[in-house]
Amino acid sequence: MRPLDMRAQPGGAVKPAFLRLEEIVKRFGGFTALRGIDLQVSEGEFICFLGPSGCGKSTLLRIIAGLETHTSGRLLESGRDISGMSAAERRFGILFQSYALFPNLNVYENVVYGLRGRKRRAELERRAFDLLQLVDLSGTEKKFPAQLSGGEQQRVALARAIAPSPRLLLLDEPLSALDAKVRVHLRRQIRDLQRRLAVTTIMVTHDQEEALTMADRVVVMNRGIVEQIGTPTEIYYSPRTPFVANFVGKMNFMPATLRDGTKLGIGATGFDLPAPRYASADRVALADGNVLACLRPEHIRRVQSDGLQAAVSHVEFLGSSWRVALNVPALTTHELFADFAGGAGFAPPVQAGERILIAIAPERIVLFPASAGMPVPDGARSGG
Amino acid sequence: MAMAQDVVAREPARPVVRTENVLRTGACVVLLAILAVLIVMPLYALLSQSLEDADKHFIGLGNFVRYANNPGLVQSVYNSLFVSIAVTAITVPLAFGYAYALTRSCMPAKTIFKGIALLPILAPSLLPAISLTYMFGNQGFMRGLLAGHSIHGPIGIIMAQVFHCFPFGVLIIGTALGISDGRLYEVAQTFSTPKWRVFWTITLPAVRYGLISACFVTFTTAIVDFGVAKVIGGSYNVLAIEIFKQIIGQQNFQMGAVIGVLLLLPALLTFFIERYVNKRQMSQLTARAVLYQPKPNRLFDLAMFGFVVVIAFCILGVNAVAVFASFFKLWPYDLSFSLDSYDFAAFDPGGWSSYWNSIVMASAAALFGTVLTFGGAYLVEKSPIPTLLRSLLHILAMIPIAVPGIVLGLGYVFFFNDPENPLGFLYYTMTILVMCSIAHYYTIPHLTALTALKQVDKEFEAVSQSLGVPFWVTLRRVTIPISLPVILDVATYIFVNAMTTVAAVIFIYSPQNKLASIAVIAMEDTGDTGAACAMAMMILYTSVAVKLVQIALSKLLFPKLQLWRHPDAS
Repeated sequence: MRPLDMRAQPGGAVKPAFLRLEEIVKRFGGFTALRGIDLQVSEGEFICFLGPSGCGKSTLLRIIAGLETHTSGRLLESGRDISGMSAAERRFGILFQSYALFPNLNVYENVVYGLRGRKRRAELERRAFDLLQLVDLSGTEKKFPAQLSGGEQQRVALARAIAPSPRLLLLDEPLSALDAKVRVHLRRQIRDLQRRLAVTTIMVTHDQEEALTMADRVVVMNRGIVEQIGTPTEIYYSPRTPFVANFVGKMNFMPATLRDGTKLGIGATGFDLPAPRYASADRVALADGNVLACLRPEHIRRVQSDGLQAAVSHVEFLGSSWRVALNVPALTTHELFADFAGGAGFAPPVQAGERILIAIAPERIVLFPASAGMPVPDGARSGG
Repeated sequence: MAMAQDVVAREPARPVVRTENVLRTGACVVLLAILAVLIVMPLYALLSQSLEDADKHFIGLGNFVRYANNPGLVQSVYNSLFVSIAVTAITVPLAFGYAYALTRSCMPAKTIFKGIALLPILAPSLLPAISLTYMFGNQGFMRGLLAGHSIHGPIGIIMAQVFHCFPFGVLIIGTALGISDGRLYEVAQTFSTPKWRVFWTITLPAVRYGLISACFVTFTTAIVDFGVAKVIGGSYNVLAIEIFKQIIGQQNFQMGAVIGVLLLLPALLTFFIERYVNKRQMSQLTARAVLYQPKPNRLFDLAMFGFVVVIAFCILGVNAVAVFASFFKLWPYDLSFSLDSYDFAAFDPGGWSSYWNSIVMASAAALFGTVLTFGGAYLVEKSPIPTLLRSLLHILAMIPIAVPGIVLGLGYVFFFNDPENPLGFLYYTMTILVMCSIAHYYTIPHLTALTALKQVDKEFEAVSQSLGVPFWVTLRRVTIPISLPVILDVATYIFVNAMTTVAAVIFIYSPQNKLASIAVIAMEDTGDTGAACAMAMMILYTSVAVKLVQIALSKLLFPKLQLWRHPDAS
């Protein structure tokens, strides 16, 4: 898989690569955790490594930090090979899921832990004051970590990590141990801080919502390879592989056939695609023949006339919408899922057993060659 | 922005990092060398001695064959087996009952009774032996109860050993009973399972590994013990006594070595069974298990309480006899108060100096032993040293638990008394006593420190590295401060054990640095039972005092610890 690093960044100009990973391979005994990772990170960018547990994302982060050594490949920082450098020499800021705050040191001592001996005390105190203000924890200097909430502890850990002004900030599932509400709040706070300091940041997460909301670019990983690198919207709307399509968000998969580049047949129904689809990043047109058609639940609309026959088999309340399981014999024998807005009052939009008409927009359909294989339904998403 | 300037100004710290790793690997090599001298070389000397004749010629298993053909020696094997099996058969059920009462009933004053059960650990193993001699010996006031049998022999050995082994049994079985999953009992209740069936189908299977473990530990402790048999065994020959006779009496080093090797076997077996059992037992308790909480049941609680009181009375009684014996002229016949028994100089040429020697020796062992074990555990757990060195360090640290004190002491004789050994000057010094004590008790502190360090977030090291802070700073500012209670615990353990040990030092003390525990045996030998009691009680008082100081320090100095340990509590 080739990296998509030749693209222009959002904003127009091509920025220089700050960090460059070339063919990074990591083996633990007989097990290959990373099978040749290529990646370029621009200065000031916020990157998320997203993938199921065991995909190698944390290992990759630890390699970048210098806490693990890779088996082969090169790691370049601004063109300089840092493969042989230890974590202490790289001095990248790190934030762990466990916070890893020193329990016997108070907040102030924790924050300035990496600065002691390099600055005078007055300077240290000013710096700690600024940093704590930055993470909204002014006045907690004398408290011990155990006296703070999980979210506050993680912010102290963040202040400690950025205290020595690292060139790169590495976040290893920093929000996973926190309550849902705190997590959403801290998500924004980290992102705002990252923008203000313009510090290049890589975050590892298995939470797709976290990746989509925070990242400039998302690196989706699976079984030691990079499946796709792209902006959150690219990842969501234009997945490059069935794995990405299945892992990020909910996706319907339907076997289909393609003729003349734009004529798509799903089951007994024909669609005209507005333009040919590409099989890869290299803009090679997708070949005719058997393909896999993918469609998001929100792209199935209910219509009053001129639609496909569908039987409702199950209705599930999602909060902001309703997820409806449908049997659409004209498309596929598999169950399809559609997201509908609620009906009048608080009533569900449809009832199980109801027969309705649906329509799908052909331009929203994502195609893969059939050889890419159908992903295991939802199995790959379980586990954290 | 100020931050941008920082980035430019900073230099990479390459040389420092190299020093750090060299330093830690170097420390590891030094520690390995120390452990080689303390543990490996003496054991090697013992093993090679058992395969050589008196002129140091290799004769293979010749000594063992000679041993097997000596009926007197073989008899000591049978005697040892008989005594140890009897001790196991008595101790384990008693300990099970006691531990069951402590964990599964709602009887009152559990903490106090747990403390009483553990009391014998703090006393030298020969204290119950002396007390029993006092009670049932030729002038004993309870002699009639033995119906003409002599306490000097298997009866005395077994009785004293039961007291000595009891706390280990309670500890092991108590742990096993304590970690049972309460939900299993709730499920049984919803099915209205009868109590006896719950006991057979849930309780016993859950603690079977603990029971196995308790059996082997008791058996091994009994079979390798020297002090008890020396004091109360009379002419009854057991293996540890036979070693002593061969070495001290007959100067037959080869035969002593052979018995030493034989005594290694049960200890080795126990070691491997313990490891196996521990793995199994731990896997029973998943993170989701709910700890069992006993519910009040008057009759059951009362019965359990009664049982515990009887046992506790026996334990306290045995210790009380030693106290009374030391404070009265001839208790219980002449009840005039007297401190004569504490005038040790009147009974033994060493006098009080034996006691002070023990204090010095135990303190030194505690100090250096703690540094070595904690340092070693830190290197194993927290340092990026080569895997080979790490494994080697851990294995060497695990060996001593499988080596009986008398065997290790014998190894020290063979190794340090060898005229060709440049370290021979240490023989008969205080230093060698300290070394042997550290080596003998190395494993438990090592494992304790290792467990404690494992609980310290491993990301601390990663964070420190990424912040460019050298390891010794984090060791000094974070790792050691948060490990202080464990360090204190380890120091106390080594001190108390060094105070009480007899077997490890019986061959290597000299008249100039005689120890309190040795003085006890000497005074008992000359029939000064009152003085022997007094000296044994001095050891017990000291151990209890040190233990109390440790508990007080832990409570007073580290109140914040509870906060550190439970960060989610706030």
